Amino acid sequence: MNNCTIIGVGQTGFSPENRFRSMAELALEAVERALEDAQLDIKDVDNVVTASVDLWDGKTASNIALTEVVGAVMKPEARVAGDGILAAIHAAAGIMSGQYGTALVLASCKPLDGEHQKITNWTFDPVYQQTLGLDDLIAAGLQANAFMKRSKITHETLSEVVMKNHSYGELNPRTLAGSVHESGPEVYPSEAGKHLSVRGLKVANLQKYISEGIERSLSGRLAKPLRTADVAPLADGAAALILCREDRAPSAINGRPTVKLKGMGHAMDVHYLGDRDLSESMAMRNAAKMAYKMADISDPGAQIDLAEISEPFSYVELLAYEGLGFCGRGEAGEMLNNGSTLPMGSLPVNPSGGMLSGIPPFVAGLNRIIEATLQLRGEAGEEIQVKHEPRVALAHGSHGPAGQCQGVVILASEAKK
Amino acid sequence: MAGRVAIIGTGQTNHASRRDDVNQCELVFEAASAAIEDAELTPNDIDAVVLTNMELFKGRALPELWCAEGAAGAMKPVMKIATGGTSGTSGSIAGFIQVASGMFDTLLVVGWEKHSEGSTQTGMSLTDPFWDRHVASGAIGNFALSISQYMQKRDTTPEQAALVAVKARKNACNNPHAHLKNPCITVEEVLASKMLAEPLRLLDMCPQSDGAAAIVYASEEVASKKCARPAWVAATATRHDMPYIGDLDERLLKMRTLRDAAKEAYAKAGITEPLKQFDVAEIYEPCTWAELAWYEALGFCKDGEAGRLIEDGVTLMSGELPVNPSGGVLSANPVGASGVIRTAEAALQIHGKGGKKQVGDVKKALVTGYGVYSWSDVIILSADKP
Repeated sequence: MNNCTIIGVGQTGFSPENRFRSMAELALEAVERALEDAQLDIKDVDNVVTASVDLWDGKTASNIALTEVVGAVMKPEARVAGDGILAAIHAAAGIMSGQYGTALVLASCKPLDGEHQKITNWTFDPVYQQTLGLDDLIAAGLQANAFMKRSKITHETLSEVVMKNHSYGELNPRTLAGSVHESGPEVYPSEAGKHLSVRGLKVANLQKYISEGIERSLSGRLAKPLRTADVAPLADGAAALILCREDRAPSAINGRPTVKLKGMGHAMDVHYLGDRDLSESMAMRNAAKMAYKMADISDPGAQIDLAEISEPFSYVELLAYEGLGFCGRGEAGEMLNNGSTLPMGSLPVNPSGGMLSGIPPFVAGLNRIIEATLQLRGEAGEEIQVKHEPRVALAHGSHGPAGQCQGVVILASEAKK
Repeated sequence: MAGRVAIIGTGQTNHASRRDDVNQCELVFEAASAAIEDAELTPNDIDAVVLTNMELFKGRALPELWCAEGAAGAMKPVMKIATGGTSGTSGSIAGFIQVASGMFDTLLVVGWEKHSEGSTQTGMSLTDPFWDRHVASGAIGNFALSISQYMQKRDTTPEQAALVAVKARKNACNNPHAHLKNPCITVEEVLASKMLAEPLRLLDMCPQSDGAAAIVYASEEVASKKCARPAWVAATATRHDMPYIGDLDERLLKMRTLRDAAKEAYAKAGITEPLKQFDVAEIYEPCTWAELAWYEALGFCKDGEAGRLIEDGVTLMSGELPVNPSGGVLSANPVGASGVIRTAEAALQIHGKGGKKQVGDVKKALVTGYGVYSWSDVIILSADKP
């Protein structure tokens, strides 16, 4: 089997200004940044895999609009309808199969162009669940209830996830929070627990933006126990990766470590919410199991140095601690409280600020791969770079009601020269 | 080194203008279970699933979330590929790649569409909101433009195009799954049918069908054990093209994506004389004229000779290279499934399971996919291991 490496990453920021840019413009920025990062020309890309969803883009075969900017004119392209992490997995399969030597992966979404919550209602079967008015938010509320009860999670713990991720997200210009951030990093957390009492002006700014965003997309409705702050704000943008077969990878740029895709897995849960045990995510477990097997990981808590996961709602991060096997069932709250998942902890989770800091749906999984890659390269940025030289990282993406569809990718880097 | 992969089973629904007896998930299940049974496997034996469907035509979002269970996909790796008309062949290629990568030993591809539940032409017209949408011509309008140009430059006549319709609808009589069948159809009937958009007439055009189709891929190890005569994937190739029809210079005349994809696939599979070396072809013809243009792009004949090729009967069931024994897209078109139908129909010919439409001993089969304005897929299947 051919090994697959990540030789380039690029994305648009996720600032509110993206609202006024077209999908093609956003995609072009992400692609150009990734090509520049890889020091590759578009003509050297053998294959293109994109991720986008027609109903969110308001266009049929919406990837038509991006053919030129992804360099797919007279080239192969496949479009996955779902989170970008699936596009990355499929592109990697193309390289592992020997069919292609290089691949460009792009994920793009402009949820602010449409009525996000309403569209999620249309993802439910039209006979029973759609007519009940279910949508992603309600499904999340149901899952949060079930999970919190079973794993003994309190509302305070949800708030702690929000505070942790916002604190770091504001220090990361690659998130919505980081782009609306007004002044310098005066709220730098230093020890486990202390950061949880941080209440800064910048956080209030983000709260305001979140509230306005939620008002716009939900008409004020939330789903108990989820409050405004528990819901990741929507943002528009695109992200891109350049993958390359190991033997074709160019010599290291700036002495940066090579980042390899060591494991991949994905799984789709059953559809009817009533058929699922919402207190956990079986699909997440299956996706992780497949990825861990491929990457030879038997003890994720010990062998994984950092994780970038997609948490469209605060409770999802805690569910992921358990679902990905970082801790046992019922231990997620404790894992957060003892500081293990802070950037200076034993298993940093979302040092980037996570999806709660504002990353578009369907782009998030690819963005997580990018953030994990930057961390492994030591290029994440001073304030959020995990210091203990991470070597193995996990990136996670999902889509669908209560995360019906889950994807996990394991990245590993070789030591710097 | 790419893994060797073969198709070991196929299944289809009976395609129809309305399948009110099933919902989308049940439609998927019909094709999926037929394919799994044909492969002599059980649902548990399927490692992964690729689904293909154009959701916007029915105003659904991510319907695979609902329908994956019908494809033995619960709790498994399931991915949906959606690339317009090429969805089915895109998905067929994607499934092949995922098995060739070593990630899976078996993989099921299911394509489906339930046009009766939506408004397809509306869906098809939802392209670029600034430049395309106000034209709102859908497939019929944009083909009419390109066909007028093709007809003029190639000197091809409506009579020659009508021969394609006659072939298709007669071949479909041998196909229990086909939507449109007509054993008595004549060229005159085609030429007298209602004009949709000059010069494209009703009987020149494909239908919109409710239907699903599925194929089962297996790795070399599994295929060798489970299947007496696997249909090995010898080559695949894909090309996409410019987004605006105005940028596609002489679209049907050049059909550069199909020519280039065929060139790549032929080279990989050692094809230098397609007419001689292929035993059967299942090509994606949304309308009669397109099939003629594809003959030229695929190198079955020189440019300008396509009309003569069909007049001489070369592509009839009795000819040197039967094209679309199934009746083609002209006889059944559930858009998300059509590409999978082509792949399935080619594979089952190699399997020797064609029944009344079997073209003797099939060693090499050609599959093409078409979509959007000018996207092309080419797949070559072979009874011989590559």
